[in-house]
Parts: sequence; structure tokens; C-alpha cells
Amino acid sequence: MTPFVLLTAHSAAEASTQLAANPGAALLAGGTTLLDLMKLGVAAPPVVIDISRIGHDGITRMDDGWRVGALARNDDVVRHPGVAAGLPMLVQAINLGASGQLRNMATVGGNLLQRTRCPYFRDLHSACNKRRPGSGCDALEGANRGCAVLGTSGRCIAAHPGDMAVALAAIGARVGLHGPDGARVIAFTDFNLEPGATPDRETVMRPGEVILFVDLPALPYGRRSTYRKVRDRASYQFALFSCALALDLDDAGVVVEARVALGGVGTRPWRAWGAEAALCGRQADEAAFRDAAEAAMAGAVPRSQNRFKVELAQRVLVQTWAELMELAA
Amino acid sequence: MNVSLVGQGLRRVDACSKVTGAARYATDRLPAGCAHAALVTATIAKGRIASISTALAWQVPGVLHVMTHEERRPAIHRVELHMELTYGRRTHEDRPPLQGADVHYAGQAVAMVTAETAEAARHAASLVAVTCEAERPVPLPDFTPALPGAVHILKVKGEDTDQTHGDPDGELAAAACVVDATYTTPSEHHAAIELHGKVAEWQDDELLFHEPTQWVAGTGRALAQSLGLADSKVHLVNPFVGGGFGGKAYFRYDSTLCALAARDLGRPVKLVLSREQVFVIGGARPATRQRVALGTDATGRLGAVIHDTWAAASTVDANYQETCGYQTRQLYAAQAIRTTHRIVPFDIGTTCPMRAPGSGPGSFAVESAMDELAHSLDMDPVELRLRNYSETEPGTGRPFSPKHLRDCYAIAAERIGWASRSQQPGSRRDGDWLVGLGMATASYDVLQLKSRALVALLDDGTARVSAAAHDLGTGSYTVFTQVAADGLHLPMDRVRCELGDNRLPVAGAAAGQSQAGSTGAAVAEAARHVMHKLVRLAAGGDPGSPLANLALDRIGFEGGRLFSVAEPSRGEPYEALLGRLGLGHVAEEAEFMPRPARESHSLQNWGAQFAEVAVRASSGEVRVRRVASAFDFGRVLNRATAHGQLAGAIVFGIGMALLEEAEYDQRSARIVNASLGEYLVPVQADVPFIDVAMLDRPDFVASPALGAKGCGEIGNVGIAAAIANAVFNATGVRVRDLPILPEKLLDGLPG
Repeated sequence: MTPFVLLTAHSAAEASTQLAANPGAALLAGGTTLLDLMKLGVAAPPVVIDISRIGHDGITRMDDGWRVGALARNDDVVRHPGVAAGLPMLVQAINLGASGQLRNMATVGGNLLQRTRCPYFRDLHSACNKRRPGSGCDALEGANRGCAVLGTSGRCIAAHPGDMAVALAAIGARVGLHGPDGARVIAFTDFNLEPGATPDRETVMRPGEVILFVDLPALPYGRRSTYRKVRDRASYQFALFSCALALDLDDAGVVVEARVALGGVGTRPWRAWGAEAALCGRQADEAAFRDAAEAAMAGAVPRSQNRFKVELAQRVLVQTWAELMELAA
Repeated sequence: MNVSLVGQGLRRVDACSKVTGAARYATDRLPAGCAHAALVTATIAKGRIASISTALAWQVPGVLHVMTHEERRPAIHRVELHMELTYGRRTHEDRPPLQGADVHYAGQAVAMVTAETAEAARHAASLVAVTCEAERPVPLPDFTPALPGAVHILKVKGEDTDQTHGDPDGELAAAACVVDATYTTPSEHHAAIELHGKVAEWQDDELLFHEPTQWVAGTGRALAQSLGLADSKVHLVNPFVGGGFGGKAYFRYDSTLCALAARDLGRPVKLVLSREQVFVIGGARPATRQRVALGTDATGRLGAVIHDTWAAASTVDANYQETCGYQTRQLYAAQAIRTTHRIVPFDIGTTCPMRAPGSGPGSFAVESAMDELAHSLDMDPVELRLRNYSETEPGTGRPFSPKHLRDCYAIAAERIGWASRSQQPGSRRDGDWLVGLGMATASYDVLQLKSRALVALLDDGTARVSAAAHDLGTGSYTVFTQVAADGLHLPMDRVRCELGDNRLPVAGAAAGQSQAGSTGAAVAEAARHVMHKLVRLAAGGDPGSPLANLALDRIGFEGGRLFSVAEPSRGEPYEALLGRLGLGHVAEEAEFMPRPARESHSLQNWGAQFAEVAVRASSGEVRVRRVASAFDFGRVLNRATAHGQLAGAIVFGIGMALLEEAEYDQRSARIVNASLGEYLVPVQADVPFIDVAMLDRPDFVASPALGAKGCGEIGNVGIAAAIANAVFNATGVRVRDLPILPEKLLDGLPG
């Protein structure tokens, strides 16, 4: 680990000021991603700002949902009775996302900034445009089983590793930011960037900005939602594929609204707008599910080792929608 | 009558110290003034170091010492020790490090930095600048380009690696039903929770060395030799091992680097490898490619069994042969059997034994092939095995030591509910899950190693067992305590056991499931000698003895007390006798020598593994729902620790079947998943109910003193095949290349 200076912030404003004053500084919340990457040498911030004491760790009821402080632990969300009842897919996503130890440490804000598990990103001696811009991408022709097939570019195919983030994309969460130029709230689906030509830029956050909260809108039909995660081992593994699904049906079984977000296959938490459009207005039956699954994976660009993900995703989507129909709304 | 302690599932004597953290592992040691070392490893897999600069490393505050092949090149004596382990190798990697510019694999040590703190050492190590002239390496897993370099080692474990009985090709050509297929297993890693580490402390010209090892006696001698010292100058201490699985079986030259740095600096040095380094330097079960050809007549009687093995090795030391076909020689009564073995060198780190070496990957191939054969014959897989049951060693006709494999099949089949299995694959469905049953035979040869042990009865009425043996978490402390307490007729809590120190009586390695039977027999023998001596003392010239002048066979002992058989109230506690005679203790050392029975008999452990799996139709995810297994490995010394060994090995096999694979980048020949986050081993959620039956029938042919064989390896044999066969039964998809991943099944699953 490269030596660093540790600063402590006591308020979000102080953190923001410290961040702006120290180029390359990193914020330390739960540390579940940052410390790993620092030990690997992948992250070597000259300054680390401890924000674990700035507050912003509560969950409060709002008119149309809940506001979750950025420093709330993942497990705080899971344990919140209102969230648990209203947004089962979020709770499932968090529970399937990490072990109890990690959920107790990882914060909601930090989790939005989780870094990819692409092996070449985590290895200093490989080419990775995300880690070292311009160095190339060893994953394109390498060990890319875990890599993305949606939203990729010729410079990066690293998959976003999150589970909670996939559910947040489906829910339509909003992210509250605080920075030198003031506060702003953006849709979570606008928060992450596709790699394009600059895979090192992963979010729209500006220099000096700090995440203060995540707003979870109540989803009236949120009870008919689920999070399905596919992986080789039954626990403690990043998703090969995952999906956060919610369905609103009218009495005739026609889809009024659908939410579809995918994990393990996208370069960012992947809201499958096309699949949602394909479902809306259709009778919720297998034919509709198949069409929507195809729409979800339209434009996929698989590589040598992750070709199976397209079929995997479509099969699992169809099956999971069918299972969702069994759930009472 | 005394109830024997041996066999009971007694709680581990070290349980409290383990769960409270009182147990001190080797690298828990932190002597005053200890400096910390870190290795720098090569990032190319083949080529030469063009230049290596340590200037930046030296600028890190606290750096004390740097070694490269140019700077302070370490003076290492090549170890020529003759290993008693018969896997054909002397040291973990047969090439001292830092002696030249050649790079043979990614992860090879090229420098070592020692500093005041571990953090400074690691940071400085990251600043050692190495530039290389790289050549194109030959990576795993494709054997084809590497095959021309295949090496034939003629003998391993005392047996010819190539053996033929009868005319297998002729039998195969004449067979009514044939399975002829290629199976592959990937490079797998031991992934013990405890990292490889060591602490070197010099006291004048003697070295005190703490290191987790499965062979404290041999490792100590090898370390001494590598330093040019007499054996007696190295004191190796190794009280607990946090998992070995074969990865800690051999001496490693990085120990020598650590000791040399400590000598140069005049202060203790600790070196702990990183998790990634353990993956790349720590050894691996070699990847294998195996051809199995089986031919039967129309009734399922085997005419031909052909099992050809190609196993990967490092170009550095292509001397470890994975003996996949050895168990195949024992399994079935075929007319003709051929087994061959070759080593195929790749530009990878050293390969070495891993749990159930040989038989682990070998059984996957041959037991999968048996399942394919049963399917072709439309015959129950158990029936096929019974029809070809080997009553004597196939080919030679040598008798087996007692074999109860039929009972293993029957017990395990009953417990898994085999009768409910459908021969038709894909016929059982549970919602989105396809469910199937599979089975396999397990066999593992009996390895016995020369072992000594000392048993001392003290004048305070307690006893001490001492042996340079090991507890890898296996329960050795407990088992040897039981054996000694039994022999001495003392309660468990009056016997203390000390292991893991090369100054104790020399024992064999904890390898090949040999230790409980080998060292255990020496302990039993030593305890017997102590009691003979004690009885002679009681009956001898001591006028104060209440048993004076009794015939020796008229003196009994029980519960720490000697007494007259004719008049049991007449007697005294052991300590009263010793105290009166002024003897501090009575001690006897005994030696166990492997039985010559090996010459006349084939000595085997046996088992039957049955598994129920569920394969998710929508995703191809495989989950093991139940395992029922039965094992015949002689007398059970401790039911609890034996169960732990067997169930643990089955968990190991679940990993082998479904998860484990070191993946090499095809350009760099580097392992891309060298961490416990990405190299997947089973977690609790992957482990179902495992129903283990132990036959507990002593084998006094293999083990006259104890009747015990071993159970550390056998549980890992056959389980991967049983799972693969269950996957076939569930889905109709045959996976011949481990691990069984969703993408290998997806195309064959119902939509």
C-alpha cells in the first residue's frame, strides 16, 4: 500500500472542501472497496478523507418514499421495515450482494461507487484503460467471462459489479450530491457513465462532490418485484447475471408498467428501457416475456468467454417474470 | 472393564485454544526486534530479467535489506535430501531462487525486501523495478501445443507409472459396448486459510524457525541443508497448521531467503506470502487430460480398461506426476488394464500433491466413464460396479487387505434413496429445478510412513506424548491423546500431547492420510512399552510395592492405578510407584515401520459416494442437495474428527466439481483469479447435508497395531464424478471438463 495522508471530515461541507483542496484524494466510508484496491495498489490516493463521522446515516420517511443517508449501512436499509415491505427487490438485492460482515460495513453512498471486478482492472501489470487511461484493454481478448455485453466499448468491457445498484436503477432512485457549486439531485440512471472513450470516468460526479443521500421513491406495485441473481456459487460471488424486476398489471393481466434492470451484463447498472416498452400494454404471458427478454439484450456485444450471457439473461428473465406472476401484487 | 477411548467422538483437546485464539500458529510469533520481509515476483512467465533496480525501494523509510540475483545474491545450498514422501520430489520447487536472471513462470520470486514493518516491506517491494525480455509462454489449459515436451517418469510411489495387464486394445476392439472419452480437470489450488509464512530467529549459529509445514522433520533437515548447516542446528517449530491439503508438504526455498536475511541483519525476520503469492508460488494440483476407454461384453463385464494420463507440471521441475491411473488398477475386475502417465511441462508455477492426489482427478475420469458405460448399457450404475467387483487386485491376483466395498455401496445407496432414481436422464423436475442422482466408487491406497513417538509417564500421574507429527486441523492432538490414554489406562485429561517440533521423535509427514495410522501406531506401541516397564517395576525389587514379587501377568492396570488381578483392592496409583522409586518418569520411544504386508497384499481404503443435485433449468446453476457416502478405512480412531475429515473432503470435492479452476491469461500465462474472491471454493451455502457412514472395521493386515488406515484423502475421491453423474441424470448433459459451469449445461437444458 502506498503511504497516504489521512484526514477526518466532520461534516459533508468539510469533506467537500478537503476533497476540492486535495486532487486525487479518496473518500473513506465503509472501506469495503477502497481498502481492497489500496492494498492491491490499484488505488493509491495521496490523501484519504475519513467521512464516517459526518452523519448522513439515517433513513427518513418522505412523502413519496424514503431518503437514505449516504452513510447508512447497507444493512440499515435491509432492516428498515418500511423499505423492506415496500421494495422487496431492493432488500433481496442487498442481501444477495454481500456477506453480513460486508453489509454491516458498506455504506449506501459508497456502494454507488463500487468498482468493477474485471481481473485486469485489479492487476497492476495488465493493460486497463479504466485504471491507466490509454494502456489498452486486456479483457477484450482475455479472461472476460465476468465482463459486460451491454454498454461496452472498444476500450472497456468491464461489468458493473453491483447488486443494490441494479435494484436502485429499477426503482428509479435519485442521488443527492453536494459539491463546491452547491447541491443537486439527479436520477440514478443518469449517475453512471458508459465507458465510451473514457472508461476511467465512471460517474457524472464533479470534482469535490460528495454523495449525501439516495431517495427511494415508493413504487405502488413494489410488492410485485423481485431480484434474481445467478452465480456459480450459492453465495459470496458477483453476479454472472442478475435482474431487478417489477410488474404492474391491470385486472385483465395486461402490463400497465414494468421495471427492468440488469446486473452482471452491463458496464453500468443497466435499466432495460427497451424491455419495459416491450412489456407495456401487452398481456403478461410467455410470448410477451420472450419478446421483452429479447429486447433487454438487444445490442449485446458478447466476447469469447461471455457469449453464454445473452442466452442466460433471456432464459432467466422469462422464468423470473413467470415467477413474478405468482406473487400477489 | 475399561471402555476404549479410541473410536469415541471425543471433543478436540485443542478446541478451546482454537476458538479462544490461544492456539499460537507459526506466524503469530512476533519476537522482539522482528523485521518483516516481502517477496518481489516476476510478472512475465518466460524470459530473462534485463535489469532490476532497487534504488526506489531503498528510499522507503525502514528498509533494511534487499536481495536480488545481483544484489546480495543469497548463498543457497541445493537440497539433495532424499524424501520419504514417495511422490518423486525433494522440495516444493526444485530450484533455488535469486540465483540468475531466468524467469520460468509468472510469480517466481526475483527479489526480497526486508524492512522495519510489513507495510514498509510490501511498499518497498512494489517499488523494485524489474525489466524483462519476455518470451511467449506456454500457458494452461491447452495441452496440445505442450504435448511434444511430455516427460515419462518411470516409477512413482514405488510403482511403474505405465502398467499393462492382458491385451487392452484387443479387448476394446472386441467389446460389445465401448466408452472412449477424454476428460479434463483444471489447475486447482489448496486455498488453505493460513498463508505460507515463516519466522527466522538466530541464536548464535542455531536457527529457531517457525513455519507451518506438513513435514516438520523433513522440512527442518532440508532447511539446514539449504543453509549448509548440520541438521541439529535448525530447530523447526510448527504447533498448528491452518490447513495444508498438500500445499505445505514440502520444504520451500523462500525459507532459506528468510533465514539468510535474519542472519545478515542479526535480528529475527518474518516472511508471510500474500494470498496472490500463495496461488502462484504455493503450488497447485496439476491440470490433467485423461483418456479413459472402457469396453464390456453385452452383459456389462469389463474386458478393457485403458486410462492414459497427461498431467501438467512446471518447466522448472517437471518431476511431480499426478498418478490418476493408480486407483484404476484396483477398481474393477477387467480382463485387461492399461494405465499410463506422462508429465507435460507448461510455463507455470510448480505443481504438487493436493488432497487425494492422483485419485481425486483420476476418479473423476474413470468414474464418469463408468457412468457413461452404465447409461450405454441401460444398466444401473451400482449394478455395473458390482458386476465388475474386484475380489483381488486386478491383473496380479494379489489379495486385498479386508475390503468391504459392497457394504459401502449398499449403505450409501440406501441413505440417498437410490431406489427412487430413474435411469432416464431429465425425468425428475421440481419447479425450475431438474433433479438427479449420481454415484461413484472411491478408493485410495494405504500410505504408511516410518514414524517414531515417545510416551512418558510422569511422577505426578500424568503422561506426555511427543512426536514430530502435525495437526493440520485434522485432530491429531486429540487422536494421539486418545491412543496414549487408552494404552496407559489414564483419563484423557491426564495426557498431554506435543507435536510439530523437529526435536521431537521423528515422524513421517502428514500426507497421504498416513499420519493417524503411522504415528498413531507408534504412540500405541510406546504406551504398551511404558506399561510393561511400569508393571515390571511394580513387581520388581521394590519392597514397598504392594505388588512386589507378583507374576507380571497377575498385575492389572486401570484408571491410572496398578493392582493385583487376584485382589483388586491391593494396588496403588502409578505416581505412588514412581514417587517411591524416585523416578521422575518412565519413558519409552517406539517406531512404526510400514508393514511388509504391502508385498503380499494390496492395501486400500474404499468408499462409495452418492450425490443428489439440482440444476436450475433457466440458468444452469448447479446446487448439491444431499450427499450420502460410506467409507471403509479400517478402525475409526475418533468418530468426530474422522467425520470432519470425510465431510470436509466431500466439501472439497464439491468445489472440484462445480467451482474451482485457476484461470490463466493466454498471453501472459498469469493466473487472473489468484484471490479467494475470484478463485471460488464452496461457502457454507454450497454445502448441503452430508451423510457420512463409517464402517469402522479394523484392518489388521494393513495395520497390525491399530487396525487403522486413514481418512483424510478418501472423502475427496469420487465425489466430483458422483456430482457430474448426478448432473447427467438430472439433465442428460455430460460434462467431461471440470468445473461444471452453467454455460456448459445451458444449451442442453429445457427452455
